[in-house]
Amino acid sequence: MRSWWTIFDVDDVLYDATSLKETARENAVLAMIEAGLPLDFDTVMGKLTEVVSEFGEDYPRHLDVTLSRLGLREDPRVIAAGVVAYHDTKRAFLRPKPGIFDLLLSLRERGVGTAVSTPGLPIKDWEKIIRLGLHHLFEMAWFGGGDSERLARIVDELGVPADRVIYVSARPEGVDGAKEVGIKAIRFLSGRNAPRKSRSAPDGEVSNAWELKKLVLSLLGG
Amino acid sequence: MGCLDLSLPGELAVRDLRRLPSTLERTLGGAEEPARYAAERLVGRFVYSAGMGTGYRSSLLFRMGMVRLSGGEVVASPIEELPGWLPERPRPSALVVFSTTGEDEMDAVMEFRRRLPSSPVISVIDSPGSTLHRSSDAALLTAAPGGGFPSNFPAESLVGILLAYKVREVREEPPIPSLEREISRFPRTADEAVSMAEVASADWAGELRPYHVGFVVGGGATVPAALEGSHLISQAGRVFFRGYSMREFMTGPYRLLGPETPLILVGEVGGEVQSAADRYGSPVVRVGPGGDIPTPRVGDDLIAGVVHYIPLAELAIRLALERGVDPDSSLGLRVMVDEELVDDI
Repeated sequence: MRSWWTIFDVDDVLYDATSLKETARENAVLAMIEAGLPLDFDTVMGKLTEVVSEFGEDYPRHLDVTLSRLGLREDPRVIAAGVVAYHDTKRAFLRPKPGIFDLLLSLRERGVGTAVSTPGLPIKDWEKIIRLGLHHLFEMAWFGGGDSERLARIVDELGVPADRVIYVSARPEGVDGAKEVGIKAIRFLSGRNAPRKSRSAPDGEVSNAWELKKLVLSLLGG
Repeated sequence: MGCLDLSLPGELAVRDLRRLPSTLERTLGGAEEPARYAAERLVGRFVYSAGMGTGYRSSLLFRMGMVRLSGGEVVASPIEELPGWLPERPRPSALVVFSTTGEDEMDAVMEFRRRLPSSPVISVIDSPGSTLHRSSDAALLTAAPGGGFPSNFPAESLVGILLAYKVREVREEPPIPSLEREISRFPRTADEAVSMAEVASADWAGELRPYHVGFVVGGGATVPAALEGSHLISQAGRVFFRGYSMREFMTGPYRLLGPETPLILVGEVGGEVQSAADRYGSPVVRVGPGGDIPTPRVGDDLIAGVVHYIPLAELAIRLALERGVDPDSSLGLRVMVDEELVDDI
């Protein structure tokens, strides 16, 4: 039975999701143009960005819809070129942020429980965690749903007081959800959500994993 | 058709650039009504905007104008590629073709008509009486500068902006008086741009003379001018200058910057491009208001997208002359005999 738990969000906390997705989408568009798509880079990127924000990041057919919205035939060869470039970039760039391994190992050595929790789809997020090579370092995982409901359930299942749980998230909603149920919240200021403010003040803000380690250890009282 | 070399090197190109303001005056003079007529045929339709070479680059600016001014759904593509990319079941559509000859695009236009028989074809065209002119549902005529260099980009682009604005009018969206003024006074703005660019372009052409490879980078509405400028510089000076949008440039090509690869920045281009040039030691020429080659300051970014063409055309001519190449006889640029020259003979 652990007396303290640190729970990590995934995107822009464990790895630089924003840069990865931007680079992967850019490479997908460049590959589609290289495969014969007769449009300029800015037009295709602009439409793809619109489609991603309309359908959500986990929608599996962004490129097909992009071509259709641009009034073009959904050419399977060109779409496949984009998909391959996207996944190749993802594999190449999906690496833990510097300092994350060190932090997780330090927490384990201190007997602090480590877990992941995101509002995303379980298979998608496990895929990321496995590709990051971090899956053996997390003892528990919870995915999907609203932040406050999910975090309340986590506190119940862990059987520890809420103020013995720390949630690290780059999303303001993550901070708000944690504070609603009495969990300590650390805001990782990184990626596309960095300029957005949370309603509740977090227990601390960090911009890299070394600052995060210092803050987590101080909240743990050591 | 042929090519007569009875003039001094670059004389025709320089003359045509000096004539650009009056060319634009003539173009705008007759464009209002046909633009309104064409706009009525575009409202409520998905618009394919297309052309070859310069026509394609003009169609890019038209696309930006349609998106910004009328919220229209529009895509710009090289016309020769378009027929193969039409979907199985296209939406109600229209085709806007930007063309100089009015002939080269006909295969694609006929295929478009076959696939979408009830879709109107609008042409922005420099050749009255050409096949494309005769077969269009509406045509906007431009007055070309003369011997084919500098290109017809400013006239085509300006008419494209006017057409996009007319679509806005037909849709009864609020007018933009400042843009209306900038369109109608554009010949004077072009005159200022020609005067402002002359001396600085000559100086910078001297600086750029030793280089064989470089980049021309624009941002937003100046991207089509950057692409057109890179084409003119490459063709006229027999060098290789590649045009990019800032965003595409920063996906990788910027890594080719170095002391041997100058960078021409067109308009308001983000600081990250300048930083990359500084980091790799690339010579930089800024084209735009207050830049190394200055342009008049205009209020609307679409208009700026046309203005920036002028210093790049001037630079292309001057660079060609510096490098000992006659821009009037550069392959593919002087494509037809100037009628006045024939009259003189």
